[in-house]
Amino acid sequence: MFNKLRQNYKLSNVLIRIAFVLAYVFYGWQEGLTSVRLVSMQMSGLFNFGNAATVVLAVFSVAIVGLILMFLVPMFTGLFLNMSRFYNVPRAEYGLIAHVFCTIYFVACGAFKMLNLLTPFTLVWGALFGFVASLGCVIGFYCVTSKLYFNDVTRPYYFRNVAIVYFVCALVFEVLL
Amino acid sequence: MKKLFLIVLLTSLLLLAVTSNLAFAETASTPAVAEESDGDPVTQESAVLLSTDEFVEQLCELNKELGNAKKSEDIDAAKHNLVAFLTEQFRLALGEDPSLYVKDDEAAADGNVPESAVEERYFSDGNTSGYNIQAKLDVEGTDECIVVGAHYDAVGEGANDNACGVATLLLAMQQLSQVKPNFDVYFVAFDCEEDGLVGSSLYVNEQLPVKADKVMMMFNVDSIALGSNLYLACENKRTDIADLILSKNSNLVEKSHTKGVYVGYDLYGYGYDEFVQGSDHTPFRLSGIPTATIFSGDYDLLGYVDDSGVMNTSDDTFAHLKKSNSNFAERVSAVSDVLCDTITDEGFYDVAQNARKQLVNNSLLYNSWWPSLVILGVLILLAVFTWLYHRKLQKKAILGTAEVKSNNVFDKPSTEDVFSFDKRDDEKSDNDSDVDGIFTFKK
Repeated sequence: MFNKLRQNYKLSNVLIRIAFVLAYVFYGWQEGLTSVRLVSMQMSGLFNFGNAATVVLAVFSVAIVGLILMFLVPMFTGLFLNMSRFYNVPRAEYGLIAHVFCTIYFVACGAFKMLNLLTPFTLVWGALFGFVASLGCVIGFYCVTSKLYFNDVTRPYYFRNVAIVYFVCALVFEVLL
Repeated sequence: MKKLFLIVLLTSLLLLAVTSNLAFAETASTPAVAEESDGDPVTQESAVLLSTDEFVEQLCELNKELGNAKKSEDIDAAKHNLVAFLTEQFRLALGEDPSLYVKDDEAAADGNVPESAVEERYFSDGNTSGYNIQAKLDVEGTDECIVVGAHYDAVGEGANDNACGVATLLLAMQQLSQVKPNFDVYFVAFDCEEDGLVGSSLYVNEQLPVKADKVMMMFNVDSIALGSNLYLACENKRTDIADLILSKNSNLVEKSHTKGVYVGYDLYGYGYDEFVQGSDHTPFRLSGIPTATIFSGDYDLLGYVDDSGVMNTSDDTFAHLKKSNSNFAERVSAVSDVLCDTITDEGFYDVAQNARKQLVNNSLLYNSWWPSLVILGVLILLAVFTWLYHRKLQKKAILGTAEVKSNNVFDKPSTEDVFSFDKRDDEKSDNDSDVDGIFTFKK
C-alpha cells in the first residue's frame, strides 16, 4: 500500500491534502463552534442559527480555514527553500512532506483537545501540549527531509536554517502571542 | 313659611356641601400633573407599585418603544420614559413618594426637593451613553455595602433578558427595605449591557459611591425566566458564598466548574477561560469584588446553550414569555427570595468577608503566562542543544562525504512495471542482436 502510494504521486498528493484539511477540522472544530455560537448570540438580530446549522457552519468555516492553510504551507516551504538557496530540493515533494507532518500535528492536538473536553485532568498542563507536539513534528520533519535531500556537507546549513525558522515561530506563536 | 325657607336653605347648604365634597374628591382622584424639567407631563396615575407581571409588561412596552424609535428626539423621549418609569418604581419599592421628587430646577434651587435614595446616573464613554439607576438602602454606621444589579436595556422587548431580572431587583428591594441588613445595599439597574457591559463598567470605574474594597459582594441577575435550569456562577471553584446561596433554594444549581471553560474564551480577561463573563458582574469581578450571578439556560458538552432560543432576539417578547413560562413571576419571586435570604443570613457577613480571599487568581502571570515562560525556558535549553548539535554536524561535514542516500520520496517505477517485453521466437538463433524483444506499454 505504502509502496504503491510512493509510486503514485498524484494519488498521494490528493490523499495527503484531504487528510490535512480533515485533520485541521478535527483540530479546530471546538473553536469554530464557539465562534459561530458567539456570533449567533451577539448578532442574533441578524443571524439566528439552529443547533444543526451551527454545527454545519462551524465545520464549514473551519474547513475553509484548513483549505487556505493547505495552500499556504507549500508556499511557505517554497519560500524557505528559495531563501535558503536549496535549489536541488524538489519543492512539491518537500511541501507534501510538510503537509504530512502538519497533519500529524493537527491529529495529535485534536486528540488532546478531545481529551481536554472530556476530562479536566489535562487542563493545567495541557497548555504545553501544543508546544511539545510542534517540537516533535519539526524534529520528525527535519530527520526525514535531511536524510532524503541533504548530505553531510549541506546538512549543517539545512539544520541551522530549520532551527532558526522553528525558534522564531515558537517564540512568536507559543511565547509572545 | 319661615320653616319652609329654613328647610330649603339647609337643604341647599347640604347639597352645596355634598357637591363641593364630591368636587374635592374628584379633584383628588384626578391625576395630578407635574411638569418635568423638559416639560413632559408625567401623570401620577402610574405612581403605583406594579406587580411582577405588570412591571415586566410595562418595561417590555417601554423597551419596545425605545427600540422602535428612529429619530433622535424620539429615542431621547423613549429613554426618558423608561428611566422615569424605573426611577418611580424604585422609589415606590423603597417606600418613597415619587411625587416629592419631581425635577424642577427652581424647586431644586430652593432646596425644596428632598434627597432621594434613588438616583439616575448619567454616563458616557464617548460612543455610548445612558443612565444607571441606583437605589440605596441606607444603614447608618457602616461603610460596607453590597451591590445587587440587573441590566434593563434590551434587544427588542427583552422580557426574559432582562425585564424579569429588574423585576427581581424590585422585589428584593421591597423585601430588604422591611428587614434592613447590617450594611448598605445598592440596587442598580444597569444600562447598555448589550453594548458590551458599558453601563456596569462605567459604574464600577466612575460611579461606585464607595471604594471597591468596601463592596463585599455583587449579585447579578440576568435572564432568569426562561430556560430549563437556574444556574449560579461564582468562582471556578467551590466557595463558601456559593454554598450559602445554593442552600437557599434547591432548584438553584451551581454552574459546573468544568463546563464552558475549554473552548478558549476569555472575553473580558478573567485570566482563564470562562464563558459566563458576558454580564454585568464581570466589571466588578475584574475589580476584585466577589460576584454571584444567577441566570437560566442549559449546558452541553461544550458550554452554555440558550435553550429558550430567543435571547437577544426580537422574539424575546412579553407575549412569548407568558406563553413559554406562564409562571415566570414565581421564578422571579424565588430568585428574589434567594437573594434576600442570603443577604439577611446570619452567616452572610463572615462569608462575604471571606469571599474575597476565595477568588480565583486571575493574574495573567498565574493563568496564562506561566506556560509561555515554561516554553521560553525550554526554548533556551533547546537553543543550547541545537548549537551543540550544529557544531557536531559541522565537524561531520568536514570529515564526511557529499553522498546523498536517496534523492526522492517517490520511487521511479521499474521498466518492468511500465512495459511488457515480448520475447522473439528466433531469440536463441540470433544471439548477436541487440534487441531482446518488442516492448509495449502495460495497461
